[in-house]
Amino acid sequence: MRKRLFIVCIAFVLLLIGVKGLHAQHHYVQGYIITFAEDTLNGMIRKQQQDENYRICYFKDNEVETSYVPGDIKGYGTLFGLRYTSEVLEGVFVEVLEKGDMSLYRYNDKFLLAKQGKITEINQDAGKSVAQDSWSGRSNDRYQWKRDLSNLIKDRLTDHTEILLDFSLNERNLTKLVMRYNGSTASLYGLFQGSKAKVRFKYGLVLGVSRASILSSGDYDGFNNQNYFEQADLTTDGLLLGLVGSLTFPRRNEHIAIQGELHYLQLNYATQLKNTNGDYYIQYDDLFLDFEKIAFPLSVKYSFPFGKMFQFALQGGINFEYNMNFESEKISDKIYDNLVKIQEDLVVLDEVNKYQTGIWGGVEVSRSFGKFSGGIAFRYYKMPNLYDVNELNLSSNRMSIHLIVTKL
Amino acid sequence: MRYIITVFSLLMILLSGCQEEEELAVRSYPRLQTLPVSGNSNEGATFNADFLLRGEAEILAYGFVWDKKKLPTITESDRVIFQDQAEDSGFSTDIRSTLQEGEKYTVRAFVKTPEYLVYGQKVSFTSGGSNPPVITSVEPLVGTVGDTLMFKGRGFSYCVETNGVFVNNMLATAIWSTDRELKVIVPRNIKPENIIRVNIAGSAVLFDKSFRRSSPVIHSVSSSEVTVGDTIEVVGEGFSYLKNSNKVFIGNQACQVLDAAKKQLSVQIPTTLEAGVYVLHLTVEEEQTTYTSITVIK
Repeated sequence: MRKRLFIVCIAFVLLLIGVKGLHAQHHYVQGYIITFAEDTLNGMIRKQQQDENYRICYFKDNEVETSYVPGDIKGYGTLFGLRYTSEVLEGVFVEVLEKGDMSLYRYNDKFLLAKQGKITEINQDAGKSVAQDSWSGRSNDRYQWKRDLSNLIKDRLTDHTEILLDFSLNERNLTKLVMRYNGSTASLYGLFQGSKAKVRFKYGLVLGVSRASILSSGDYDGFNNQNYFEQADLTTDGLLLGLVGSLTFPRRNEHIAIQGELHYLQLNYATQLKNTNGDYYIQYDDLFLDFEKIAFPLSVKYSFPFGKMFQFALQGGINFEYNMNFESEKISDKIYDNLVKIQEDLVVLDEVNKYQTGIWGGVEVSRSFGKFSGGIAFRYYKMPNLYDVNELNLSSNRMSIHLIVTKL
Repeated sequence: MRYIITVFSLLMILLSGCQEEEELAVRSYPRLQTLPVSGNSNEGATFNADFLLRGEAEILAYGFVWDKKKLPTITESDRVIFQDQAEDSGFSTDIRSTLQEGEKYTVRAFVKTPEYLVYGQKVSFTSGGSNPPVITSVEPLVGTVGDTLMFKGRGFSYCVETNGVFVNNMLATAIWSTDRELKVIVPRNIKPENIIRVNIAGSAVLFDKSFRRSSPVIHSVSSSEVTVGDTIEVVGEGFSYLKNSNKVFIGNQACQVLDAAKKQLSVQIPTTLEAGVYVLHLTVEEEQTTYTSITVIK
């Protein structure tokens, strides 16, 4: 099975590289650049990832492509409505969301409001709302961003308190708010009336690799007066496939989620021991243990922004495992001079506990990609009570790396 | 997103490529596994074996051994031996004889290299029976008690005592056998024309030709004038290797046969014989012959 999996993975990577290769051809849309001399030049703008848009612009005119960084041009845009300017933050392009008496800009996850020449960054996280033209110190008040917003809009929106009571900070809501401030008749419905869901459910897929080990403890005095499992190196790698579902409660706390998963995994252990009986014979023992498992990890997950583009999460909980299938086999070679007898021996571990309950913990780094979120998680599972008979206690622990893709 | 998937896939490749799951240790001999018996019916069974690890050692011979005992061996049990190139995956063979219906057998695969004889695990099964052997030839078809008959065919048993050969319902002692050849000694009390039957593991077959009892012929004696107690050599044909099967009389006195071969007997003149001229009579399994005259001198 391992060899088949190896080939599948190779094919998968080659496919990805091939797809990426296909995508090496660039796509262009109609757009323009604005020079510092206020000239607007029409041409084609290269489509690229959003983080690239903040850094560089590729402009093509008559099949000649030129790259522009924020110091080269005032701004650029596409005919579909994307606009970027280099005049807000030094060294980067920011996306222009709304222009007027109050302007709204976006740079990665940051929202910037410009009013009367002053730039205010609105950041929900830990109340780090900072006025750009004067660093008046940071506040740890988690509602500082609302106060900043309120100060900005109260001169025109008398119902600013009501608006911001249940205001959810996102691009859509901020854009509508700024449009309203600027005199637009855009409806504010949904801004504060149920704008946050009480419960949000997200689901996705999990793909992972695990390195698992079987550990023994107890005073077992096994066959040949040895604790076979103490001597044997029972470590293996296995793949897992599964589903993940998580519940968050945005109105209460957007950082904490309860997550449940369903995994299917196969673990195949193989180990060898060599014993000698003086000059009489040499014996090689090959032990094979094959597991097919279904796992149900349940956890509490706490996530927060990590850097400009990522989310970092700490996670821990309980894991329930069901040993769906288990097979064991021991093949011994006894060598007496030049005579070899290969035989199947009794395996002490002829069956294991069907159900195991253990604990697990891990960390995850993720990033959103439009409608999806992708992340890599590192986890450790501690699973006791694999086998507990006649003073032989076995537990199965594993470390895993998971790729988790969630639909937002 | 694509980058994350690519990195993760590379990681999975590394981990799965390095995994040694289910790889057996390299040994200096082939490791094989006797697989369960298949096709068990009243016509025999199929024995199967797999190489767990073929290895680099030269395979001189391979096959199966089986017996009603718990531990069949290549020297004492029924066996089938191949000396051609063994397939890397394993080998199988159909056994169509030597298996008795209802009996429990143990079979093991084996492999012989220049340094090792390797046996696989024991597999037990209860036989549904098998076909009788096939006899292609028996030689000679003319003879007498004590002669050795060579059977050729297939399906005989390597276990000599398992081969039951009957010459006219008299059990012939088997003295040597393989799966394709069998040697037996012609028993006493055979008739002039005898049916040959071979019975192995409850299945019997008749040979299509009969065994004919030969008649002895005396060509000469070493000395026609003898004294009592002398030893004479009787030369001829059709004698028995078994001394006691050659009945020699001079007159009405029985002579002791000191030594016997197919064409020569060493006979002692009885001490109780009176001087005179006698006829020498020789009888082998009811077949008689005479020699004209022996003169006994006192």
